[in-house]
Amino acid sequence: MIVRLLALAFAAASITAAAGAQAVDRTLPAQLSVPTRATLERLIDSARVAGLPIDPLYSKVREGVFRSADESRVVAAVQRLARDLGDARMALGDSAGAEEVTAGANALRAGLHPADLSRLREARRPRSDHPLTVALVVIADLATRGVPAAMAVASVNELVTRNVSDGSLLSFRQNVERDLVGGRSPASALDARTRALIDDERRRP
Amino acid sequence: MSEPDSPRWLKEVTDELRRDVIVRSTWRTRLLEEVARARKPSAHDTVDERFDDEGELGHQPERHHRAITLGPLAGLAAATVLVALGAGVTYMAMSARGGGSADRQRSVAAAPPQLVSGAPASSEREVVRFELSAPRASRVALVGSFNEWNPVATPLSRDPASGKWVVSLRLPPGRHVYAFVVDGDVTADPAAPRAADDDFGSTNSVVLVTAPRT
Amino acid sequence: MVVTHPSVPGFNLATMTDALLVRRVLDGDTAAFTTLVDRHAAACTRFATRMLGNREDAEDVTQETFLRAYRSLARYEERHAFRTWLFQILINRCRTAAIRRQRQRHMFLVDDNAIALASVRPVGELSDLRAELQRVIDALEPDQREAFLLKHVEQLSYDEMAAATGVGVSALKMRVKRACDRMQWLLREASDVGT
Repeated sequence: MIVRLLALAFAAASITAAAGAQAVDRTLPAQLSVPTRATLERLIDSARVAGLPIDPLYSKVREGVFRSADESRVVAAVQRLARDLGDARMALGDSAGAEEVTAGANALRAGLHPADLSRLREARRPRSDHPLTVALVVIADLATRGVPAAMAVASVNELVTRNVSDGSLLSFRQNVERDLVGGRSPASALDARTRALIDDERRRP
Repeated sequence: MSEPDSPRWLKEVTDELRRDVIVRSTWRTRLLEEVARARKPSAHDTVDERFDDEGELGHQPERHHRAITLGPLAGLAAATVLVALGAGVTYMAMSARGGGSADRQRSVAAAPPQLVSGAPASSEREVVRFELSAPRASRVALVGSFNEWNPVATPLSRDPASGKWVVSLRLPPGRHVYAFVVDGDVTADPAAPRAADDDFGSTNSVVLVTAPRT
Repeated sequence: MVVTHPSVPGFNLATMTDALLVRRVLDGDTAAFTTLVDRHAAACTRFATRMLGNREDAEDVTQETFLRAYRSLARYEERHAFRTWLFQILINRCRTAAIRRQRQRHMFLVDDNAIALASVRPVGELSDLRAELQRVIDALEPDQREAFLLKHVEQLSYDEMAAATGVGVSALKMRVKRACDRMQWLLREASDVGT
């Protein structure tokens, strides 16, 4: 196995959805009260039975405990995430892997509509079956930085249609972020960077 | 919003709920096009004409064939779903026009849930290096989905050469969510993409780990 | 908006009663159906949006409703108001859509309090009144939600509601009352959490 160091926590190339890769402790922390744990167990089990990724749900619980949130808030967050995961699964289809569905749920949370996810899937599908994980992470990120969700989706959709690589999508995100920090408006930053990336792709042999 | 104990709450609520809804012109056009295509109704239509409730107007419900796998709690989950559908089932019994509600009940209960597929888990991990510039900090730790958000599990240490706080971790492939704890304050990674959910007050960062190439 | 029939100058569909418009459609005048759509689409969309919780589903369901109404127009009986008859179709479409969605989307329902609390605006999140109200409405049981919306939003009489839902008047009154009690409780919880 080749060990590779990735600088600054970015993925450089494609991501495979490792179904069932158990990165997460699947028990509920003892700090939570018994009724809350029972509620969460039922929620998570419903999700499991529905074929949704449950690691993100366990993580959400752990995060809530770490942040000393009220138990009702933890339950609300898990319920909301479960619902978003379900919607993302519906929109992305049964063949979408755990990471893609999770990224999809996050994109919905960022303000996308399930129809946007389906459209992204349609945009990619003719050319490849490659997961939309990176595209979705990029959209969600831009939306948290003040780019209107619809605008972010439109740009990334264009790039996905042109089969832009994951690495290029991540650089695109970085560049847009830089432009935004520099004071550029979301519309003009997106427009310029999308155009630039499309031009680059065209020039590629 | 006024104190919910008085009937005024009801008036405020209903005033808001009664606000006019705009009918989109694209929706209207589509409907009228469908109407134009449909067979014209006439007073002489036989009243016997039945509509099948599912899929009649182009809404084909997806039919999936899923294997039922019962885990220890799946029975409870199925019961939960049935209880949850209790209200819905009553609904259907009341609205049933001619048979079929019993069948539907059965098919809803039998709608097989699916467990996560048993694909072999990849145990290959990649080494990922996390970096943070925080010159005035005395303690920095990493918390995230890969260490159960445990603030003592993964401390960073200062790299003497760059002065930055660093740590390298082996992570399985996939999407992970994380943040830094800098002298007790939780902060996102300024260099990484952000997650959109801020359920507990602040945003987290995302790291995407590739699978190693063999 | 004044709609005049092209072949008959001065003829004004907009002033006709619903029953009369239905008769015209059955006689072959499709434009009369357009007038019916324009009269009732907003109320249908509004009810469906509240009932199902989202606009897209509501539009699909309202579309289906009007198409079904069009095709089965011969079955409309004038002793009921047209809107009541239309709502009967709409209510059934909403029920079917909700059940179909439940099957597909696996609603994560647990005990009542968890649902109620989860429906409450989380501290720190900005939400406008409308979103908050929708959450409260979503937290009602479907038959209570339906009854509440018909009575207090669409403002049908209990008799009309009975005709549209197939449920008896006293049962409907009970559902409306329960819905109001529950909404009050949820709204109070929401304002407590917010402090």
